[in-house]
Amino acid sequence: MKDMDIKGLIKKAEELRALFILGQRVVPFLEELFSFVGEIQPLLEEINISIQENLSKMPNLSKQLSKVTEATELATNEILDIVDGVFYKLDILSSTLKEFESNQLSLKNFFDEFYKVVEEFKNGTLSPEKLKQELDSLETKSKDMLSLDTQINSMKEMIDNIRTDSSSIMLALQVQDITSQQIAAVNHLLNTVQARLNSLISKFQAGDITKVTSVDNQTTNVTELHRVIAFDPDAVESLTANAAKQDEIDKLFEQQKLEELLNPNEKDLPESSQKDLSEERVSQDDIDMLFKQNS
Amino acid sequence: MKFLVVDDSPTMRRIVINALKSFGIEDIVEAEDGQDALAKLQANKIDFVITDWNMPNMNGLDLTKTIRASEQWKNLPILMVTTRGLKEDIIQALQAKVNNYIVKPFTPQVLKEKIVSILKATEK
Repeated sequence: MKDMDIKGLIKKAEELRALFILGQRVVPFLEELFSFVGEIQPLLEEINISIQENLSKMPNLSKQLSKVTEATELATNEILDIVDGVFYKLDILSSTLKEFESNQLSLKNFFDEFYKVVEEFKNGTLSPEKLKQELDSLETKSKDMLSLDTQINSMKEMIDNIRTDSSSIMLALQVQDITSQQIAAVNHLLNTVQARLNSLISKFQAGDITKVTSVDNQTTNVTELHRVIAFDPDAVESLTANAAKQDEIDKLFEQQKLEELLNPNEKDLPESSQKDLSEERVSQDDIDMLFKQNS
Repeated sequence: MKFLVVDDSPTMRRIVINALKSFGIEDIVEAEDGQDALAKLQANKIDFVITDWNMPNMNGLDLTKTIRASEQWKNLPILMVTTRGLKEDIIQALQAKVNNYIVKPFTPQVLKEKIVSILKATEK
């Protein structure tokens, strides 16, 4: 029994020894693992923050692109409507021109007839009765000629209308500049995200995890598409903000904000006003008012 | 009268130039950014500048400041045409001494009004 106890004890001691040997081998590995986790922690935190930041930007990107599509669609439909109108007006103009040409022929015939009467009158070949008859006929025809003025005025009006339509097309085409700025803003953001992720991946691959530095944020709003485009990240907002009209100016007038803003003695605006300034878009009418006050 | 149209967007330059031509203004020089504009100002006798704000190399605000700082061009009429519609931006433009400011998209009528108003004011 005693012999068996000793054998069992020796076996247990050997197992314990094996455990210590394993522990001896495992401890440096565990130390290394703890050290690695300690070193990699800032990088993991940075990756986490970066992913969070970039994910928060994604819905904004999508919204911006959606606004671009919406603005393009609106402008395209507006242009198509205007072009439809122009075609309609050109049809009217064309038919008025045809009527005018036909009247012009009548006018030529009228004058031919008139000169013939004058010639016959000069030659004394026209009796007074015949002269009266001819003059009555010419008078009736001359009344028809009055429609020429109406036709000319109608054509002038139509040309003015088409000119206005062309201006409207020009206005609608400005959306190209606005949307290209918006796309440039999205492109800039995507490039920034890509650069940031690339920087993290390269650090990870290089094992350079001790120096975790932030990628500098670019301060200039310029990006390269088919050409270098400088952009206003809120460019597309100008399409809607521009619709704000006179009531905004009246409101601004009432608040007497303009004088405050332009008073050079009050350069240091209160924080609340500065916040208002940075967030508020103004209409062209407001701008006019500002410049009027300043001049 | 010679106009200088400064915008990095060729489309916008074309739109502004078309509008100017419809007003009977034919003598027009183009520049694609502030730096190019300064070169064109040196090379031409410019009477009126229409500039965008957001441009690479040198933006419209810096161009305005440079023009105003120059003895030669300090009184040159400058009209800014931009998408930037925040009051903060407009105050900055005012402080840089642009003569007037238009937010894109604009109508040719508005452009004409602003040019006429600037010219009247600078004539005084």
